[in-house]
Amino acid sequence: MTGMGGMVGTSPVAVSVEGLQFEWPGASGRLLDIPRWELRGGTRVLVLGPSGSGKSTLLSLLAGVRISAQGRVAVMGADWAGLPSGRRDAWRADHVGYVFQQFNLLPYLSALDNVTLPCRFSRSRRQRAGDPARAGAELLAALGLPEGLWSQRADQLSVGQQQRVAAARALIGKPGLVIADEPTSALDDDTRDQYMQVLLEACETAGAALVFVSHDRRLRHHFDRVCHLDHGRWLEETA
Amino acid sequence: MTGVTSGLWGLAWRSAWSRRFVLALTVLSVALASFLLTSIERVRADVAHSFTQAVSGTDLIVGARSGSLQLLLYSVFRVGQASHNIRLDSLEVLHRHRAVAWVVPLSLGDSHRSFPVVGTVSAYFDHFRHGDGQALRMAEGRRFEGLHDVVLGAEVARRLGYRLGSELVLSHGDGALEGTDHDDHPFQVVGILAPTGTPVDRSLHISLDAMDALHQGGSWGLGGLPGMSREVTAALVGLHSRTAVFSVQRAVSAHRGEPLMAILPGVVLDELWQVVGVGERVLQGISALVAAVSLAGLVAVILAGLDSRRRELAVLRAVGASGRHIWALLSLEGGLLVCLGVALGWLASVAASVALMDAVWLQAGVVLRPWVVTPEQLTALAALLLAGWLACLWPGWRAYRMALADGLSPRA
Repeated sequence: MTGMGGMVGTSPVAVSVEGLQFEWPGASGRLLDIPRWELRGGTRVLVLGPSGSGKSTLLSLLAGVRISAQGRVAVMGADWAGLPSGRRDAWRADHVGYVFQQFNLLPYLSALDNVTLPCRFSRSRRQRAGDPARAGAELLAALGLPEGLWSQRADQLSVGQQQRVAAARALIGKPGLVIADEPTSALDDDTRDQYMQVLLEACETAGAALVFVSHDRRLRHHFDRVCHLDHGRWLEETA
Repeated sequence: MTGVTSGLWGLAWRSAWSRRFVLALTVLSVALASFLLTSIERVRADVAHSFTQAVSGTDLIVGARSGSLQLLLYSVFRVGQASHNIRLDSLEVLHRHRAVAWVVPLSLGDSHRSFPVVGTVSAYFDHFRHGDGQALRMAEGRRFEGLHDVVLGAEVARRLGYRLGSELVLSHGDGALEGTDHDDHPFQVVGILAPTGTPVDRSLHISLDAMDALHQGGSWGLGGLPGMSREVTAALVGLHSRTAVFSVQRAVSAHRGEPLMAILPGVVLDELWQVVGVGERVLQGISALVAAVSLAGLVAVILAGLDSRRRELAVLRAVGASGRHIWALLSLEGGLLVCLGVALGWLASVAASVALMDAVWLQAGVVLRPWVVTPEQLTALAALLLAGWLACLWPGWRAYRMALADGLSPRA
């Protein structure tokens, strides 16, 4: 919680949302409505909402996979709607790390090769990582994956181990924004707390803003800010 | 960009390797299409080749005036019968023509257990050519000399199990009637010809004198009627120079003694192939259908595998692969699989025709040429490559749409 003060204030804006209104094609009624929302590097935000509340839609809007006709969603200074789709893919590869709920990894690659995947597609991630294999190894070590498992095929790891590999992959090459989509839902309580600890530390080290989506209210003490999403209604808790 | 591209290659390879069993099935289905297409096309081309090479080195074939196809059919293929015979002295007149180098008379009409008998002269073995001008070769024994000598075509010997020294009896006509055997005049096998892949293999060769002896002193009691002119059925004619072929043809037509005609065997063979070539087009149609069915199978295999690849594609999208990357990945994989399958099928077809070459020759008289690639074969393979690649693009396009629609959260 110490990161809140001076350091975050001077960090670059990682995410900036203004006047976002997103309606599902064919669905009646507004699904998402966020007047204004800003995240700086190093901030940790928990977005809480029951399933079906539009969390996945919000994440795909933040990641520039879906584009809203109304309002502005910018990541690291670039408005998704202003980029042609090819540039959008490249910008996402450069600046966004992503952790899924499940099935994060390519089963036929080793843990380490999974971690360095983004460096295959993004030059700036590769440059920021320096030596991708080494950076990947450091991240895996920091996230507590025993070295003996690094060269194991991803599908031979436990779910908890796989989620650590996924987190390392999201963080390699220091992206400005890390999006996590319920990565703890498949973990038991002990593993979950341990996982949260290492994920948050790694994000802080990388200086990345973290948007963490969950329906699990017990996680709230890990975060700087908590937002609620309920069928399109957006509410941010004030500290 | 090179880093990205090489990264993609490596990924594509490891992804493909992880799905190697399904992909092997895909390659197999393409290989099957390629194998069938190539093999059918090869058989078609080689049958046509064997057919049109049934006789060569003969400039003209002379017979009684009738249809040119009929003359070709009975003189070369030993199918059907001549409406009239021609007199041997007419051939002697022809032989005296300046441009004529040799005349080989053929006397047809008898048979042995449904194999045709050819009465001819020893020069037949010198002048008859087939294929690209190959001469007849004795596999065993010698040419006929005496009145009881017979030289067998390779297939006659093999089918009927005759060897040098075997004795046999010829039948008058096609041998269908009882009591028409020339059993008072047995023949002895003195020679067996090497295989040629032409109707020669299915023929028995005796001398003209033996043929006359059969019919004059034989069971028909004609007893060598005095004054009866010797007759034959047709004659093969060779010229000193091919340029004289039309003038000799006109001379034959203008022969005063009896109505004769002369045909150019190559020209009439082509005409004949036009007639029997309908079966050729049926074969081509069948091979196109086979290819279409195999490609449908290919699309089905790829589409079936696609749902299980959704997660993989979503992960790739999430780590920065663009839609174009995924599109490239899928069409690259598809293209390589199709190429591999087509090549394997072609090799299998070559291997099969090498393996079956002898059997096909013996059973069907068709000489397979495994290493010959005809333009039609190339066209068929190119069409298969293109169609196969297009068949992979459709699943690729679906996968691309799915990857976009899944966004970053695959439905697992």
